[in-house]
Amino acid sequence: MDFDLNDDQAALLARIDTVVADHGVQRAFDVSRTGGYDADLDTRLYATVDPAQPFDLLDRVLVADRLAESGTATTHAMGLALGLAAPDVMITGPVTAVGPTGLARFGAQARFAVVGQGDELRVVDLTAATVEPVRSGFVYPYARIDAAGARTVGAVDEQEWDRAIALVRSAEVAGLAAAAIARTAEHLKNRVQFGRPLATLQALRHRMSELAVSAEATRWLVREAAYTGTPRAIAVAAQYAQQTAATIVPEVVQIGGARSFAHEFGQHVGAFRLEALRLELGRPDVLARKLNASPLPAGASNGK
Amino acid sequence: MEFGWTEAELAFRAELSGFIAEALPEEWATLIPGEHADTSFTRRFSRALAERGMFVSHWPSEYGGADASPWRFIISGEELWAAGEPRGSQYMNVNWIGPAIFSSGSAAQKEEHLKRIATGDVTWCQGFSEPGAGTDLAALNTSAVRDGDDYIINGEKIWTSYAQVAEFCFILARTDPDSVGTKGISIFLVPTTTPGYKAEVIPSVLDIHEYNRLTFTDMRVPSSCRLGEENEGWEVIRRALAHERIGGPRYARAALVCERIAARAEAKGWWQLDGFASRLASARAACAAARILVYQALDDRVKARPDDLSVSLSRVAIVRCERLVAELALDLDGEESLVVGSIGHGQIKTSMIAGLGGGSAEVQLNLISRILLGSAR
Repeated sequence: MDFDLNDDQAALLARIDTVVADHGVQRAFDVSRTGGYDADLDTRLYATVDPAQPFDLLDRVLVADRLAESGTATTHAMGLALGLAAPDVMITGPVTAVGPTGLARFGAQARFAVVGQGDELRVVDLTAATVEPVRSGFVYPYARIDAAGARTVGAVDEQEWDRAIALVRSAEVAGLAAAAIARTAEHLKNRVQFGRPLATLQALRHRMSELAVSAEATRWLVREAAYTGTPRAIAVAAQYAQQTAATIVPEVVQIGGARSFAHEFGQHVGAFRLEALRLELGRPDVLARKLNASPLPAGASNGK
Repeated sequence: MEFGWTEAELAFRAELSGFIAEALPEEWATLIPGEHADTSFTRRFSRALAERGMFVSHWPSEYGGADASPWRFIISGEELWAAGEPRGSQYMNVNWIGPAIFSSGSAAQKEEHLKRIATGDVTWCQGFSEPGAGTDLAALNTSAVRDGDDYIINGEKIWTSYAQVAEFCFILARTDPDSVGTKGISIFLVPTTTPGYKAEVIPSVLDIHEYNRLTFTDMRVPSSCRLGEENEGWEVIRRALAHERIGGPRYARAALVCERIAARAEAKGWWQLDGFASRLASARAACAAARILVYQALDDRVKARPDDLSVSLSRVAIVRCERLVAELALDLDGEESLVVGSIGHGQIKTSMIAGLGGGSAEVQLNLISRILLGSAR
């Protein structure tokens, strides 16, 4: 048991940080503010950390968490999930995942999509697909995709994809949650009302602490699940991440006040993206069913 | 970063779990930890664990341990807490009383206490809370006044578990009468047979647990009973509380209750109840969240890093999971939960204790917010 990054993991995250820093952290965040897509940064991320490389699931979720916390607007995390589930497919452009109703995050910007065709999951080239951007208030660009005319470029291992995308999204929840809490904490420390910083009010302090518990637990459950890879651990991580997002969003918006809605302060990015991720992860009843149906690991008698 | 156990740790868990299955009477399956606080059985059980090298093996060998992986601390805790904690009060000895003595005790104190603790052969209680010092423990007023080579201790402690059977009490007292807060506090290791020491049960609705009031009236103890330097006890207490907050892995018991609920769900028709599946899944995930945060805290401790934040995060998560599981268990059995001995009855009360023991959950929230937001002043 070791909660510290090993040398390879630290080096991987350092490469990601360097790419984002070189590209401009503030610039990346400014793209995110208005729900845009950072094509240039995404291209650099794919070039720096190629999803086809033999990274393990934990490496991939560490990157997804970091990119979400950094506030970038890229598809690279979904590309990393696909790299695990379809290692033979050459991914030469941004990746998205088409949801059950055809909606896809970065759908209008992606070159490739994971989409269900009949009983199978496929990677398709979206060049010939019908893609219609939709209006969404959740700080990511979404589009509705009809992939009927799209060219299939490869098969996806459904089991690998399910676990990878569940954990990548959960890791993004962890990263966004950490960022949303940090940004809200700064607001509370700096915002003076009633003659004192809001951060001195115990009612708010306790609520922030509760959020921190959820965010921190999400992060470690996701990492543990990525390490063990058991269906149970993955189902637990997804369930907990979904609940964390559902808890944090209204709280940081409420605590942040009306600033939470304004582009200029940036507090909306974490909060509203968390809402989007929560919905992408699936309905609570569906996640609950998955968790309850997943077997306990052999020998576990008390939730270990 | 890795989340697996070593072969040796897995073997230890298997051996311990096998021994529990073999040695524990069937009735223990339904007991809440602390319910059979200290009986001849818990002492026999602790001795047997010690004889098999499973009691304090993670301690240093010079104090009766085997220098084994420090993670055995939590492996033991999970297996034994889930089984109703058949060590009785002696889990405290292993978790923090022994470590406090081997880190701060004199040679004579180590000789007197550690061997008995390591062999599972002695019971302790903790004299911490007072009528005016509960959540604010540093407001304690019990006094220890120097008189030659002795101290005269006067004061009152409350909410003390295991006091009726304890042979020693770990007492906090103020040795500097002019001090306030965390300064001027000392620790005393006192035999409960000392004249002036009195323990009385505090009648309560906690049928699963017994609380006591301790009164110390002109209780004379030799200065050799003092643990560590005079007036410098707070750091020892702070470390002890950190151990205590995660030392009873309540999530392991709560997770086991979840699995028992799941096992009965089909026959009881619970899957058809509105919200049951979601509540069970939430409870299971909450138990896992508490577990992983406790592991994080232990990782900090193993690496000798500050663990204040990770311990407080863990404790809040523990309280949450206990509550979720308790409320679910209580609801599912309906009226039957009114009966002492039912799962819901025991769980709801132990979950209430979880929110208060080792410092209230609000203290943990204060500690977290201090790191997140800075001082409240």
